[in-house]
Amino acid sequence: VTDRFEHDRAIFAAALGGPDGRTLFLAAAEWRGTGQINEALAARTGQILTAPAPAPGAGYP
Amino acid sequence: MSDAPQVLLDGLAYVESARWHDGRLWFAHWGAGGVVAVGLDGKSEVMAAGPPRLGWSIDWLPDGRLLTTGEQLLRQEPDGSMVRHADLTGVAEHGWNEIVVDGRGNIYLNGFGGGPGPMASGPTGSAWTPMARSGFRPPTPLLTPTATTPPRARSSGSARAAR
Repeated sequence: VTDRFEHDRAIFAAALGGPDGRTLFLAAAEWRGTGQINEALAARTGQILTAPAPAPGAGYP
Repeated sequence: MSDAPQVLLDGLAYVESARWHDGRLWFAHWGAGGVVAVGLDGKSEVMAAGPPRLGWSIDWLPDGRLLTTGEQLLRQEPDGSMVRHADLTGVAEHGWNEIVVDGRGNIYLNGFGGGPGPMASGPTGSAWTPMARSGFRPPTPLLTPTATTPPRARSSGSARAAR
């Protein structure tokens, strides 16, 4: 672990990108459990976040 | 701890399969049924239809054509329509979730909801090979920059390739 941060909702996916590959993109949303998926979708808590990354992405995806 | 990340786009349902492609961040908008691209300026655009279900992902063939998973492996044609890229009928009871395409167009998939573990195929999707022992089930297949050909199966496993 080289770094960490706190966020108020779950991170579903991450990707490195940006013009120089050094932007970390995070896909976040509130996870309310499998029994409340429809409610969670309707609440529209999903976000795309960005943060600087120390190194560009490599490989696939 | 680093500074808090910045919000680029919000008000979304579930967001998965984040991919940097052609100068924008693309993602599968679960529950909204679309493939969305957002620029660093925060402007977003629906680029393709996606399945209404949860549990699907996106990637591109080397020629730029978009693939989406779900009940079927679909491909976006130049006119925007989605067509079936490969016939995977009967291979995965619950369809397909994660997808990665390497630089030569080899496709790697895994099944949704307890379906087959990772499987690999050439670009046409005509023959699929299980990538790992039965029970190996990474959340997302990841490939090194040098990945060029589908890995050989290391055991027969329980996943069954389409013939």
